[in-house]
Order: sequence, then structure tokens, then C-alpha cells
Amino acid sequence: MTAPSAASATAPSSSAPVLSVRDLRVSFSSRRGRAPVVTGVDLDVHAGETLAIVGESGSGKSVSMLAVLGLLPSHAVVEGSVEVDGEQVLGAGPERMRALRGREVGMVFQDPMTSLNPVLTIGRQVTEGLEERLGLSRRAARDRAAELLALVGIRDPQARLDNYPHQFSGGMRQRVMIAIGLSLDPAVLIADEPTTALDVTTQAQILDLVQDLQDRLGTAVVWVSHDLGVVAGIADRVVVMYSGEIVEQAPVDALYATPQHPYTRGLLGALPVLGERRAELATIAGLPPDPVARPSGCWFAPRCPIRAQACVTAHPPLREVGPGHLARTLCEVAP
Amino acid sequence: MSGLLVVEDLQVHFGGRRGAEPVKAVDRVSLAVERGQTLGLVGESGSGKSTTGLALLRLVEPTGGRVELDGIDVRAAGRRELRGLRRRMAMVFQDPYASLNPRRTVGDSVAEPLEVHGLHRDDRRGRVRELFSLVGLADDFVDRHPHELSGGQRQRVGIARALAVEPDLLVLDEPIASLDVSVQAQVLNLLVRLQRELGLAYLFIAHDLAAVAHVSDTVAVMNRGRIVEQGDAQEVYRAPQHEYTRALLAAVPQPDPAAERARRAERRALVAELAQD
Repeated sequence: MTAPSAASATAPSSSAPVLSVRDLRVSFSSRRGRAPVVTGVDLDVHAGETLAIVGESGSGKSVSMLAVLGLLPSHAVVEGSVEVDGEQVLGAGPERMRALRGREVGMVFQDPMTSLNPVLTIGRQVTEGLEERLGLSRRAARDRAAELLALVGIRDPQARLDNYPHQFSGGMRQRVMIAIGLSLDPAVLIADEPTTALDVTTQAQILDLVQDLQDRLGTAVVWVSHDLGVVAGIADRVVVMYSGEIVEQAPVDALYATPQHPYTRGLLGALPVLGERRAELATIAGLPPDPVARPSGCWFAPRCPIRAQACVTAHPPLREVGPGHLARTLCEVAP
Repeated sequence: MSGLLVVEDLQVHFGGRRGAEPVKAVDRVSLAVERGQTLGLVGESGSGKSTTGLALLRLVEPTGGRVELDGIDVRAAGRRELRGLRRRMAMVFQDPYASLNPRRTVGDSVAEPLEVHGLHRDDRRGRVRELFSLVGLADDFVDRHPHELSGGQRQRVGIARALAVEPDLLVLDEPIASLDVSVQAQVLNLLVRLQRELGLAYLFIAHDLAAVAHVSDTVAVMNRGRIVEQGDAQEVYRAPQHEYTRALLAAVPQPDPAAERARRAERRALVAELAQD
């Protein structure tokens, strides 16, 4: 085994990121006023790296990625900077964004049942981009599509091209989505909860598949999940989001070994450990704040078990607590 | 076998008329749940675990086998008797949003089983408030509608509703699967507390082995309609005997990066082996 922690800690400085997000802000207008759901997110993703973004419903993790892909509804207000391979794409027109999606930034979403068109063959759906975007002939596109299905571990790919989505299991459909996500050879693949709807054994296969493909193709992967258990084995670095902002970011080993933010610690404590019967799991009391009315200090303070006086007055900045390890805390957490 | 709930050779077969091979959704399943204890029933989608749960309450009719609740033959029960049995074992479903009427207040939804079974005629609202407090919901939740509640709060309502009839046994079908991780922990803690306070027995049906281990005394692992392994929960996890159990355990992601990387090779070998069956 290599030492991924050491590699990932140095990787950020060794090459230019393929995806670079700066001060990303997204807000929606609601009946009760403007709701800032992403409030200044910075991310860098490097070639060959897997960055996990973890958070609960409403943390802003998916909205951030939809903003990168230019897939938010037009009433969303998006500000900041999104650079793909050094090119500013935030604010680019719909045509440029269509060209970007799939080609430079691939995507795989949670539910393969709804992302595939039920009335078109799998072959049609895989070859569509190859023909229209890469200009391959119908014949060449079909051959390439079969190669892609083989790449994601689908047996008898030539014959399977003529099948419809309902003839595939959930796991197989998600493999097809990954094949489509990678079909135009993007520099970055954004995977948003791609295994949440799958069984554990199928999930394990998909996690391994994405890692294998990444090793072979050098694609950068952004893996969005609500589950710190799922990303432990695949991430090089982990970003934890809470109420629209990053609260902690670290190389994977450091995050699990020495989590600094009370929220991260809460998330880890809430996971049942396999084969362990404890009287009680740690929980995080309360609910995340309403984005229209966040508290004045640390946004986690109302739920925090170690809240101090300073926490309710000042909103803490993201500060360095270790090599490549940032945490948005005022508190010092005992190791 | 002894126990509060005893199931022997339970079968649920679908179709199979005109000489076609029936789909054996549940195939000769035997299990027992002791009073005040938890049996975890684990399996993946299509394993037959949910159908087993439904068949126990005859929400799906079994096609064979025996089901006994406290010595009463569930399959032989007439309509009246069955209604009585459904007071003694109640069900909690995965998606509390789908199992609550969106137009009724959640208080009314919890009162509904009381009306159906003619319980607490004199003070239903008082009983509903008691149930809400039992599952950790404040009084004022009684008058809210399902859409005003978070997922975890809705599942608390689902549990309160099941408890309304004062059952001995709860059949919990994936009660935490659609909740965020931190909320899952809250609901698991609630279930453990209620069991302690009320002496409830649980059949805890789930695909999440870590959660099951956390709450279960015994575990049964189901695959393709059959139980492939059954025993003391700690024992099954420590020394799984069946290769399917081993593959399931190897597939559960754990929040430990080094251990996960080390397990990867083992996991892939087992999964590949299983895929060839």
C-alpha cells in the first residue's frame, strides 16, 4: 500500500488544480427573504485526486456542485469564481456550459433510475455524446460505447447496448451512468451520492470501480456524500460542510484521526461501529440553522456540546490546525 | 422454539399458476423473537426481508408455514382475532412521509389506531400527547402537518403511532434508511430507550449491518428468500459462517481510512466470488 496521506498533503502545491472554486456563494430568494445556501466556499481539486465533500441535507454540498456545473435554476444567484483548467466558467453562457458538462466535467448523480431515459436503448444513451460531442461516426461511437461498458465491468457489452434501462439492475445502471460520465474523458468527475440508493455489496463494487478507473485514467473525482463511512476508503482529502460553509478540511487520515470541529466529531460519533453494541450513540442535538436567520457567532454553536462564550459572538474563520488541515473553530479540541 | 414470536418454515410464493415456477420471495424462513429482545433481520433489496415482515402481520398472505404470537396461531386467525393480533404487533415503515396522511395533523394520525381499536375513548388527546412525549416530541407537534416536520421528527411520529395500541412487538422495516446519519443515531437511541422502558420486542429489518449490530441481540441474514445464517449478534459479526454474511460484512464501509484501504482487496475478492454464483 502507498501512503495516500503523505501524497495528498503535498499534491495541492505540486500542480495546478483542474477545478478551482473561490468564494462561491449561492442564494435563493424565498418568501422570507434571501436565503444564502452556500456562503463562500473555496475548493481545489487536482488531477488524479479524490476530494470528498461530506455534509447533511441542506449543508450546501450538492448546490455547490450544481453551481460548478451551471445546473442551478435561473432564479439562483451565484457569485464567486469557478475555474476549470484555468478557465473562468462562472457566468459563462449556457452554450459554453453545455460544452463544458460531460467534456471537461463529467457527472454521476444519485438515482440511476431517473437519470436514464427509459425509452431509449443503453447504446443510444452512451453513443449520443460520442457522436454529437466527439464527432465519432455511428459505427465508431458504438464500438467506443461497448469499450466503455466493458471498462465499467459490464459483461457482453456489445449485446447489452441494445438493452433498455429496465433490463439492468440498479448497480448495473449506475455503472452505465459512470460509463456515460467518463465517456468524453473529462478532467473531473463529479459524483453526487452515486451509491446512496444501492445495496452495500453493490456500493462496494461501485466504490472500487471508481477507484480503479481513477488509477487508470487519472481523472480527478469529487465525491459528494452524507456518510463519512462511505468516503473513508476512497478519499484523499475530505471537506466537511455545515450550513453552507466549509467547517473542516483535511487529508483523509488526519480528518478521521484528529477531527477538530465539534460537528465533524459529532458526525463520526453518530456512526454505529460494525459489531459493536454500545448503550448509546452520540448524537448532535437540534437542527441546522435556517439559512435566512443564522446565529451571529459560530453557526454550529447552538448545537455544540463544548460551546464557550466567544462562540456566540464571533463567526470563526477557517484556520490551519495542521498540515493541509483547516478547521472553522475557536475552540481547541483535545486530541 | 420458544419466544414471543415464533416463525417456522414461513413461505411466501407469488405466481406459479399453470405450471410456471413460482417466485419464492420467502422460502422456509424460521426465526424467533424473545420478549423484550431484538432480532435483526438483515439482507439486501430483493432478499425477502420486508416481505417476511409483512407476512408476519398478514399484510401479505403467507402461502405456507407457521406464525405464532405468544402461542396464538396467526395464520389461522379470523378477522376479529387478527385485529387483536395487530394490536400486539405493530409496524413502522421506512418512509414516514409516505405512511402519514399529508392532510391530517400528525396528532390525528397517531389517534387513528386508537379510533380503529376503540381505545382511550374518554381521553384520546391526552393519550396522543403522552405518546408524543414518549418519543421525545413536544406537545405542540400534535397539531402540525407532516410537511412541517423533519425526517427524524416524522419517524418519531411513525413510532408513536405504532406504540398507540401498546404492542408487545414492533416490526421495524428500515426505520432509519432515509435519514441523515446524525438523525439515524437519534432514532436508534430512541428505539433502545423505548425497549428498555416498555419491554418491547423488535424485529429490526435493515440492510445496514452496523446499525443492526448496534441494536440487536440476535441476527438473521437473508439472501434470496432464505435465511443463510442466524445466531447471537456478536457471534455472527465476529465469526460469520456463511460466505454471503462474510461478503456483506466486508462491504460495510467503516469510518477508518487505513482499515478501509486494507480491507479493499479482501472485499473485492469476496464480492467477485459472489457475483459468479
